Amino acid sequence: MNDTAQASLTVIVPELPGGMLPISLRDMRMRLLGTAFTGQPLQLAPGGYLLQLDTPDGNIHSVVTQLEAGDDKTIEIPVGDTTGLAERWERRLAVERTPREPEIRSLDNDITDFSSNMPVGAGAAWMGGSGAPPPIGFTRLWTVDDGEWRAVGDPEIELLDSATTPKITRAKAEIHAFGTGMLYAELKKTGNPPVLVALPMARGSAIDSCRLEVVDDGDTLKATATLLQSERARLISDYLQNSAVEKAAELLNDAESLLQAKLQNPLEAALGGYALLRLDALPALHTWPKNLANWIGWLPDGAIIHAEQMARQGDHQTAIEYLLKAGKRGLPMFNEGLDLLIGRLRDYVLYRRDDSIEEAHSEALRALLKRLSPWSSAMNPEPLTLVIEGRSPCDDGAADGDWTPISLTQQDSHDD
Amino acid sequence: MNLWYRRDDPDDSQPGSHALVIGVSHYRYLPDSPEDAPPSGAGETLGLANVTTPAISAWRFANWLTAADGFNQPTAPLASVRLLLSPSSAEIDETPALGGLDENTVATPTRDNVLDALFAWRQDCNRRRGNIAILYVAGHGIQLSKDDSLVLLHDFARARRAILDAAMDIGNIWRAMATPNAAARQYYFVDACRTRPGLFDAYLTTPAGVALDITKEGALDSAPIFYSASPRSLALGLPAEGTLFCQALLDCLKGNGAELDAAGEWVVGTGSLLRHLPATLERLAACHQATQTTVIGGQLRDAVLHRPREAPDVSLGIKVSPQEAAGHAHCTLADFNGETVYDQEPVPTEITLNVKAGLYALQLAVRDGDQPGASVLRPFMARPPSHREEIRL
Repeated sequence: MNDTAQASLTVIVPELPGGMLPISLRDMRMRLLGTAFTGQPLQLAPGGYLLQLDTPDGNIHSVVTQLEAGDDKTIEIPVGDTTGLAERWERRLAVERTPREPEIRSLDNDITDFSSNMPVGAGAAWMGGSGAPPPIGFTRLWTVDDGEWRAVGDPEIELLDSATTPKITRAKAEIHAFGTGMLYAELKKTGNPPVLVALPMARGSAIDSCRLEVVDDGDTLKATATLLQSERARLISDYLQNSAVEKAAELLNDAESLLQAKLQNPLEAALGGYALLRLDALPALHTWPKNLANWIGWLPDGAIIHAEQMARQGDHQTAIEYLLKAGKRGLPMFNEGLDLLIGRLRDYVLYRRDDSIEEAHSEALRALLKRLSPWSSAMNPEPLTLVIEGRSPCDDGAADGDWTPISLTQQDSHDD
Repeated sequence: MNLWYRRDDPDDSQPGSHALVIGVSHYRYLPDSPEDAPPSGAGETLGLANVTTPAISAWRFANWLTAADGFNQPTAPLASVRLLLSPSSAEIDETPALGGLDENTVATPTRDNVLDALFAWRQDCNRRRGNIAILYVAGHGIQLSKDDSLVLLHDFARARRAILDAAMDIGNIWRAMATPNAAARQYYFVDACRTRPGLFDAYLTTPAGVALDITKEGALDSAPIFYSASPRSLALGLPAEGTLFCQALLDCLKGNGAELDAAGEWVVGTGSLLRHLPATLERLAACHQATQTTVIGGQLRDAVLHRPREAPDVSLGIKVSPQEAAGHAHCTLADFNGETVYDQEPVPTEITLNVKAGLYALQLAVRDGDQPGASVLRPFMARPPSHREEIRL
């Protein structure tokens, strides 16, 4: 029951009715009274308040409200499309080389005409059929097995959307996890450098599929992969992508809940670990990075997070052990992982003169740095998930027939 | 090398802010154009050439630090600025002051000079935990990750030297500065063109010539690294104005990147720069029909770098509709101290004002003949750089 001397206030984001986004609450002199979450009823003294909501796209929405004693008020703060970040990224991809290009025409209404959302197997076109135009590019999937790249087949890919203008073609698909390790999609267009994208999904986990977007600007292919299925993971990832690390960390609640969720959702746990490391919040990590690294043996990111945690705590032997483990698991799922891995390797190999680093480890670290540096310098630093431009796991010169074509059906093309 | 700026009354018992500012446009061993032959004494140049914006960018940043309406941090006032510049002739033509620099206070950013300045800067920064360390460096570079990059110095590509002998390892410096007794707040601004991938691959397992020993690591309050890391980033700016990254950074520091702190004061810090610098840079680049992004690394806990001396300016737009109602409306705009900043009757459908950031109450009343008619009271928060309100009567 409300205290009649107080007022009750609930802030809601209509586009995210169940989502809990961090809000700050200030008095009329703009002094910060505290932070809370959307959807959470607040008991406040009568008076004027300034509410500020930081959305994952980096915008700050401010609302001023006046509360009287006994009020039970709900305020809606519309924030627009909550997938704004993905859209922004898409726009950036589209305009990078052709800044004056008209907007891509969406073909959402036509989806059912050319796709039944049925999975297609390896060797089949993403969305083509007989009579389809030539493919805009090709893809093949990779995994890493004990440090070695291995091509894998049988991807389950669902077309979601595609569109084309005279100069830009876009395809959006959903890929389903299979196998036991990290998966990477390599994309190429004949005669152009390849793009390698880590796919943020894990078979048997709460996130067992991801979205892959490919944009062909007439010159090169660009690609990005985004998380699906976990609203919290998506919000954390959106905040991280926008460098709002403290907001991302606020969504984590506590590291304990992540620990419990690790097996079910290792990607969310890894994102949480990266946020806490960026804030240098080592105590909040507890021992869960070690568990993440050991329990989810295929995920390089867990080993990297634990290595970084140990290095900052001065346990360099353990840090080195886990850096080497990470190296055997492949390239990390998230850019943050390659950042941390390269940074630590450069530290140990190039600058740290520490007698406690064993000779055998020293050579292994140097070899790993040599192997990873070219990947790092080719990394696109903008997306959250790893995107490498211009390098392939294996420059085997495989004919296009060995790849899965990325094609458009006839009705997707617009020749105007 | 002497300091370019030293606080007049250095009070060593109080924390201070110490800046190291480096801008390399002219390289001793690089040609003016990639097509030209390199000067005598040059070794491997990797196809790089001189550029025309880093030195003026560093100069503008250093001047903002020392300006009366520039850097302001009461808990750690500006105590020292070390400045190393090698301007291009185009920059000197545009800004003659760059042609008459005193080598005693503005040294050429060679490997040896930068090493000397770097060690002295670190010593100053580490003197007090409450100090603030500021590093701004602009020049050719390569970015390896959000935390690691190399910036090439004036004597890069000298014959018979290791190729990274005159390179500054930013990631190493950032890690080496994170010691238990270091300045707890550190800000790194790296304005380096992102060179072609693969250009440096053969050299990335060798140490850079300008680096620090890494000792015991310690926690910091905040230590973000802001990179301008797009290809051609050094080419987009103008010799008179500097790089787009520097323009965007100064724009944010002068107020457009300010946000309210817990006490209700306007501040620029890690959090607000994370939020506003990328968007400001994107907007500026769009004016040049280009895309340019900010890459952010380092330790990102929020901490205050600078407190603008007054509330930032906001361009305020108010749209009143329908047009007929605006013609009979009385509009007042008051700040939350009750001071009226706008009072007009009738009002245009589009009102444009320059106001200080803060809370405002906008009141619109329509007369129905001699009788009072519909009235709207709209409180709102005006944040920099611009705010728009739409009122439908």
